[in-house]
Amino acid sequence: MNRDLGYLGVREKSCIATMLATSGIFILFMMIFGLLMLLSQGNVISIDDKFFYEIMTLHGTGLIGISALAGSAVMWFFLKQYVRLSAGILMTHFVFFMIGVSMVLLSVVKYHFAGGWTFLYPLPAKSVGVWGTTGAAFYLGGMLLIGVGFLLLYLDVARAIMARYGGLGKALGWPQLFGNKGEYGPPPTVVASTMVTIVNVTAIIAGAAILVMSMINVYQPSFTIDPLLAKNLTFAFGHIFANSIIYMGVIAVYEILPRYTNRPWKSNKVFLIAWNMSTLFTIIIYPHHLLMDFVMPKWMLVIGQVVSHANGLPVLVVTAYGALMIIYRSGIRWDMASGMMILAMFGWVAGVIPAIIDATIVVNYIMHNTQWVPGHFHMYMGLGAVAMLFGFMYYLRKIDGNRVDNLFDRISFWIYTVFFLGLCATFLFKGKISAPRRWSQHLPEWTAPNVWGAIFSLFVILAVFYFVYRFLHYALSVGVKQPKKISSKFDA
Amino acid sequence: MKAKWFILGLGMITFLALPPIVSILESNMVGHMLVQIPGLILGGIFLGYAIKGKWIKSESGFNEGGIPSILLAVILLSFWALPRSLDMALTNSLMEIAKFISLPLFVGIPTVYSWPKLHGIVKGFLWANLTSMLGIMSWLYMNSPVRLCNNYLLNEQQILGKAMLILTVLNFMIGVYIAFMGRSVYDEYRSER
Repeated sequence: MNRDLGYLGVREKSCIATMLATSGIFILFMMIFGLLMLLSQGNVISIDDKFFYEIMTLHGTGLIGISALAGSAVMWFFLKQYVRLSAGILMTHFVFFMIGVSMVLLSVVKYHFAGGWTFLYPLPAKSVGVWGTTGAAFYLGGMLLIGVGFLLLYLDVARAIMARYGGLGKALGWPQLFGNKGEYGPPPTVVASTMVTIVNVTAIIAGAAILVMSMINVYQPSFTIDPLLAKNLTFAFGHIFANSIIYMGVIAVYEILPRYTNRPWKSNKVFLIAWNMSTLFTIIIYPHHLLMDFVMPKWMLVIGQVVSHANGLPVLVVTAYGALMIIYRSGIRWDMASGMMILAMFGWVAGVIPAIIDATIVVNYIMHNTQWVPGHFHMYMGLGAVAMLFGFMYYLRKIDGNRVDNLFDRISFWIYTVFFLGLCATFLFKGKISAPRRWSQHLPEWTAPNVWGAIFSLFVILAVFYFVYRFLHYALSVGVKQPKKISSKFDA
Repeated sequence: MKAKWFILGLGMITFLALPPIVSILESNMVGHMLVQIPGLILGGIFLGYAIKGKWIKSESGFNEGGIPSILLAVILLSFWALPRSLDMALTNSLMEIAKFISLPLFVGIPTVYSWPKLHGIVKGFLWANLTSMLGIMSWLYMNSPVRLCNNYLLNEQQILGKAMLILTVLNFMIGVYIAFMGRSVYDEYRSER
């Protein structure tokens, strides 16, 4: 396996490790908030409704934000092999993120903002006295700062890719697709990073616009926003940004599996077509969040359904099939990193199925406001994107920290896999029995799956606690001379 | 070549300062904000090309990385984007003169001095910020329940809002085009020459 990390300095590795460690700790806390919500909905504990919506806001905003941060660390780590990225910008991105997160935390903890991650207009300004203008302004301002940090990072990525490959079109393999410039395009990491940069810069521009407009509305309510425009901008931002996490995480799959199998992952024409299609589809797919808004133009709703059915397929099929081909009879040695990558492939494939079903307009009318949708994104994110991120953490501690997996890692892996699947099943089942999402109080008929969900999530949290503990042991030692090999049970 | 730029710049500013042109452009909000002000900046940019490297040869002491100049330009531009500033220019002749002097001198010329020195990330940030801010201004002008400028009617600011929306889309598309094609197209063009 290629273990050469000579292209990274200690400062850069420290920054990556800090970003990942922060992400791990945040994910753990956000999962605990999720457990509290399930316990409350299952009538096991009683929490105040206001507090429920506060932690729901933190859970949603926090998990997307922190997973995106970890995803950006994965992207930066591997992309740095091919292009000249700025470590200063990476650190600036992290600092902006932390300031933004502090503001969001302040808005919720001190000023009781509980408008959900969607901050859907006119909720920030009209809270019926639950929170004031300061709380809303801190939340919106914090989100804006997080966006600025990400924007700087993506602009640096775009600059570096354009400098190396001569334009984003070339980095997406257009010369190979439309010309006679050979069979293979730039490395998969470059193609994926280009796609993520394009879609996320678009998302951040839309997000910045609606955040500033909402802030103006909070302070000056006479400046109203067309609610449909506001919702379009919110989801153009939110959907693309959340979706991009898995496209950043998949870079780890493209880089780690070839190292484990000694088989290169090349960007052939099918691969390039798939990523080009996903670039376009990811930007225009968001109307599937607005299928219940009957005032939306019909053609946009049709796009929402058709593209949703199509979007899951290109990159997913190419990647999942490519992963299977690369490991088939390769003699791969399974460990936590490679195992997590394959789990992530499964989570991604399985997780899009409920989404594709929900994106069908006639189904959407019935299912969209039920817990079917959390069933989709918990599977997609938890077993897909977040599994990629944990897999990368294990990869890093192995190649840079010389840590070896132990029995408890393997047990934690299976606990995480089995119980997360159980958790997702309870969400999907709750969708089947019409339990609504984003409701603090549930009818007695809905409580049993909530209790089961809480039990499953408790085990998931225990597994994640162990993953994070293992990574922290490595992260705290970056820059210090690493031991030759650590392999005892509680070593690290 | 330099003289050409100088004549072009000065000519443009002089043309925009002709009383009938001032009257036509300032009679409506779109003309004022989207023709006269950009025109004055463009005139300043032409002047900047004319004097670049001639009058101010070394600028490393005051224009490190192009940041101070672009900050000056952005602050000045933000000031003249305020509806209140437009009102003052229309009612106070001193402010009108200030507009005709400050936009070419402190927005146009500094842009020429700073743009080549700016890091790609700063250029990208300015582009992204301009796109979202144009979108927000467009919304503000289209949705404001009151007149933002005392000198213009409500329907005029709504027309300006729509024009700004078109500019938002255009600005975004130009950025996308440059990102996809820009460098390669430019290089090929240069190599052909």
